[in-house]
Amino acid sequence: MPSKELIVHSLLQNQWVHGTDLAETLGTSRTAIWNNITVLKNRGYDIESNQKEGYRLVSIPKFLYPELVKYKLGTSFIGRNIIHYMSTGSTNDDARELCNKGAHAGTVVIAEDQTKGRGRCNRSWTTSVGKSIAMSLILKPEGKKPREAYQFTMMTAAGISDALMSFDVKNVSIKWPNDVLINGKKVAGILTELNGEMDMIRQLIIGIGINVNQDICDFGQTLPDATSVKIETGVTADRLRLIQTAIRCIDARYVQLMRHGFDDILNTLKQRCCSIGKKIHFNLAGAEGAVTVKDIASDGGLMVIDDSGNIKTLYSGDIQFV
Amino acid sequence: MDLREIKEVIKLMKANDITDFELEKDDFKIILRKEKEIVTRQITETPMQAYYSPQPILPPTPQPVAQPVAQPKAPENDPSVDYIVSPMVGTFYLAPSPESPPYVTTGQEVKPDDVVCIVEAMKVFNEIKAEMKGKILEVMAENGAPVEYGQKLFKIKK
Repeated sequence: MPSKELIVHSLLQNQWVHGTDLAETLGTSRTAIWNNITVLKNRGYDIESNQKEGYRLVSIPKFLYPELVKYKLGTSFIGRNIIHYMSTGSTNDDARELCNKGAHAGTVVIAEDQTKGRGRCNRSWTTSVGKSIAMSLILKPEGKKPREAYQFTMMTAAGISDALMSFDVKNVSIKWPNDVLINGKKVAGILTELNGEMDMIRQLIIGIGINVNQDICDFGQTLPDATSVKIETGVTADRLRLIQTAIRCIDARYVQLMRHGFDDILNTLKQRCCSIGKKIHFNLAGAEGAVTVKDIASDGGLMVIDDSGNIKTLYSGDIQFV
Repeated sequence: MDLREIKEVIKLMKANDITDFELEKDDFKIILRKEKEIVTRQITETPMQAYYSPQPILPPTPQPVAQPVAQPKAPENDPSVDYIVSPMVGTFYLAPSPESPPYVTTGQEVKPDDVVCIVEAMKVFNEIKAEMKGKILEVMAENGAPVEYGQKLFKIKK
C-alpha cells in the first residue's frame, strides 16, 4: 500500500496519530511522514498537528480519491486497484489505455469531471463536477464469450440498483437493458466496451455514470427524463459512501455471476424491470413498431408481443414507453 | 436443430399423423411435409432480422442460445479468401458514430489489430478487429443493420 494511503487510513481510524508511530509503521523517517502530510494537505485534507499528540484529521476532501474509496471497501475483486483523475475525456478511454499498459482486472477508473462522456450512438453523457459519479470497471472474465457480455452490464445494473435501495431510495427500477431509474426517471447509465475474439472476451470496460447530487437546473431542458438521487430523495447524498456501496454491490453481483451463473441476476432484473407489461415503441434499422413487453429472455433479449400475437425478441435499438 | 432432433420430429409427425411442420429460428428455417409417405426437408436462408426471432414452436426441443449461421459454401475455393464473422447478435456499425468516417472501406489493407466495425447489442459495444492481415474485398453487412451470430461481415483477401 502506498505511504499516502496508509497515512490516510491511519488518520481515518484514529483520533490522533503520532509521527513516530507512523514512521515506524511505514518504515520511514518522521521527515518523510511530514512531507507526506504536506502533500495530503495540498490534496485537500485538513490535518491538524501538534508536537505532543501528532496528527489529527479534521476533514477529508470532497473528491473520490482512491485512498478514500479503498478505506474499508472490503471487496473481493472490484476496486483492488483504483485510478483517479480530476478531469478526463472519458473514463472508458482511460480504462482502455490502462488495459493496453497491462492494467489488472478489477481496476476502477474514477473521474471528477468527464469532458467527453458518452452514451449510446456517441450521445454525450454529462458529468457535473462534484455532483455525480463517473467510473469505469475493467473486467477480464475467463471462460465467458462475447455473446454473454450482456450479463456483465446487467449485473452492473443490478448492483447499482442494490446500492440505491440500500440507501433507502424508493421506486428504483431497471429499464431494459441496463438503465437505472428512480420514479421512472434515469439516474444511472451503463455503457460497455468489449474487446475480444469470436469465443473469448479479452476485456470488458464497463462505463458507469450515476447522477448523485444534481439539481433540476443542472439537467436543464435538454434532459427531461434525467434525475438525480438528490432530486428524488430531497437529501444530498454522500458521494463517497455511495460509490463505495456501488462498488461493493457490483462486486457481490460479479462474484454471484461468475460462481452461480446468470439466473439470479436475471430474476432480479425481471423483478425490477419497469418495462415488463408495458407498451413500447421500438426502432431498429428502419424497422419500428409498437409492441408489448412480455419478459426478459435468458439470453438477455427483450421478449415482446405485437398486436397480431407474434412474439419477437429485441437485442438492440431504441425503446420508448408509449 | 441437429439430425437427431429432426428425426425425433419426423417420428412425432408419423405417430400423431401430422402432415406439416415448420420451425423458424434466427435465420434457420425447416419445413417438414408429409405427402403420401414422402417427407421433404428444406432449409432456406431467410433475410437476417436480428430483432425478430420467433419462439420455437416445439417447447420440448431445447434450443441453444446461439448457433453459428450455416453459411453457403463459397463458390470459389480460394484458401486466400477469408471472412470476418460476427461474434454476437446485434447491430452492425461501420463507424464509431454517425458523423465519423467508416473504420474501413473496400480495397483497404488491414492488419490484425485494426478495428473494422462495431457490433452492438444491449449496450455492449464490441469492437471487432480484423484478426488477420489482408485486403477488404467486400463489406457484407449494411451499416445499422441487424446481424446474427456467425454472420459474415467482411470478405478478406489474405
